[in-house]
Amino acid sequence: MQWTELVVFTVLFLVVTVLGFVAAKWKAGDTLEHLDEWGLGGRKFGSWITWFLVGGDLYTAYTFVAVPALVFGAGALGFYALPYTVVLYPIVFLPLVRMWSVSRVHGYVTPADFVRGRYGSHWLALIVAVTGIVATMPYIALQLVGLEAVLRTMGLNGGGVLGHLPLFIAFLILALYTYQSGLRAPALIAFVKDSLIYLVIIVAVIYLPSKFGGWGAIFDTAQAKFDATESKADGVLLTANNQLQYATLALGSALALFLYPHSLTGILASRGRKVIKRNMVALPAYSLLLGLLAMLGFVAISAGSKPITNQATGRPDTNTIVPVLFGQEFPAWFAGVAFAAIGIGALVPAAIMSIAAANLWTRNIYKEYVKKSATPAEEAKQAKLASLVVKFGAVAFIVFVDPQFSIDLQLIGGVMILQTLPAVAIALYTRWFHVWGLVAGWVAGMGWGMYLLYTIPNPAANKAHFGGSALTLDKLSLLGWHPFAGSPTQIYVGAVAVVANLLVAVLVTLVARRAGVFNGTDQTSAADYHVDEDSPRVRAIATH
Amino acid sequence: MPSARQTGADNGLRWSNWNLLLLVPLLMLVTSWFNADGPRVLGLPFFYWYQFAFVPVGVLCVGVVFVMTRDEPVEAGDDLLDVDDLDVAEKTSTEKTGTEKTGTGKTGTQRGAAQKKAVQKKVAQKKVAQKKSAQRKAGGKN
Repeated sequence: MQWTELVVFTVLFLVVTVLGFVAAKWKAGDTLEHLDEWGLGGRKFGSWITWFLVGGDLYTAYTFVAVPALVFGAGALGFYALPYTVVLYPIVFLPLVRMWSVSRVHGYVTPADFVRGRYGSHWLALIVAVTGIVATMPYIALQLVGLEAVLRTMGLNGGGVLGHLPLFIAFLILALYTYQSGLRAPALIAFVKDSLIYLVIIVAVIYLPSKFGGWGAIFDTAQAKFDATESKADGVLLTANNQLQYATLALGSALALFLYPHSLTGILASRGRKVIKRNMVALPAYSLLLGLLAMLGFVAISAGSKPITNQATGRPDTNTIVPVLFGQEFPAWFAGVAFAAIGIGALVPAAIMSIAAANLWTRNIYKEYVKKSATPAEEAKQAKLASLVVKFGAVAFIVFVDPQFSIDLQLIGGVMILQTLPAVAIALYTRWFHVWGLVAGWVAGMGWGMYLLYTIPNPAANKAHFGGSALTLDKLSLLGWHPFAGSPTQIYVGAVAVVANLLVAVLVTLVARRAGVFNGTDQTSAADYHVDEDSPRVRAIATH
Repeated sequence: MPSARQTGADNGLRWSNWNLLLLVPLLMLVTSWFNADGPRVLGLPFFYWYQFAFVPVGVLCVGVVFVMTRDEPVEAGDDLLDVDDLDVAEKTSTEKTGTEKTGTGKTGTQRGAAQKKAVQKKVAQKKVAQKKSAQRKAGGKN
């Protein structure tokens, strides 16, 4: 047991707990019993709050432990996180302000709300909502993996179900203040989380390399280690076969990120178009941080860090590599700060994700199918309860199911959420796609994507299926036909699936248009996509 | 009865050539240009520092687009919804509930939509004015 670390961690954890409960009163509106307030913090966050909130939301604890872990294990391929978060903002810059405006005029809370309004189809909205919930759930579970990696590094590494007790307590507290304060809790905590993360990473990146002879020596050591392994795919540079995988994974992840309901929650909570645009310029500061953090994976190789064996599963957990590195190289008190940064880093996204999933459930399933007459107050109540269910579902997932399963599911989740691209992102610009074309495209992209993921083995982990997202083109199979037989080049499955999705959507759209099938009613108008905060056309908050 | 709005013919896109700058950061996805060890900077292989260099490039591109398109016409400011509009909206709303098949079951949104349509005429007039002033400002941006 590492007492100093544990004390520092606990103190910081208690500070954010207090913040979480106090947040209910922070910038409070007239009522918390409305999704605009509980689920979107009153839709009035300014540039700074949004920067901390969205930054804390997108750059999760899991990212902070998993990306360096991937670099530690595979080298250059793990660095895809940097191009991913650099190309992200130019891509989403224009669509996001359109989404904000149309949502502000019509009071949309979720991406599925927008689809419902745009196409007047509750089926298409249901598809988008269910995809969002299913893709978000394992993501929440993964935040627990990040938190647990830290707890186990500090010596709270018990076996069996009891070994998960610290995790359970941490999440119970989180669940309570999210229930009470809604989105205001993670927004306020994000200030602490992000400040700590910046502090820790900057210190780590300045201090650690000098201990191991500078970056030059660190990269040489890493290359020597990768040369010694059997695998041909690792190294400090990309190989001939994984370059396409690197680029498509970065691009596909960038396209997918703002389709995740929790990312959009942060955007919809902001006050106006300028706030979003400013943030698209300022958020890459986090990307820089993530890139620096990724390189700590190489530092861990030089430091000879060994991943801790998870007592609950009996296997070494590479996600502990950065916590182990910090524990090894930093003085105990600063290691405590670093652990708290990662641990609190898990709470912010977990809270936002559970709120986003709860909003989807309430708006697009409960209100649509269970109780059409639900009042705003009943919606808020339902969402609060759903956020509890979602969080405890995630804990149960980690405790009773192998954590590896949630990692696989998150991988699948990325491919899944990408399939809502035509219905959510493209629909922001045009209604050319027919509603049934979008449904058919989703089915095709989803089905084929899942099948392809199923066919990918991972010999290193001794798995025959769902072994990763890198598909060898040789294995790309369309109903038994192999169009690229013999090619060893790898590609991201999501990219393949979304192309199939678009093709099918185009074909079915053409057929449906020819046949004159009814294409739903559009509740939105062209001008809605350009409305700004001071327009009289925006909806009053928390009244409808 | 697909109107122009329903077919997406008028989808209200507002284009500025500055937006093309947003494509520049995508160049960092061409891995073959930078998948090399040397030259190293501060011990970092080319592969790594080249990609780090794209962080400011991305910020610059998005920042320039933000500043240069700041004057894009948005619906803001003056109250477009005066008392007469409200009355018109009320009338269309009652007509609509009877005839239009929206299948939403939400009277609130229907009313909102009807009200909106009434306002749109006003907005359209306003838009022309805004466009003119924007063109003056941007010197023929459109």
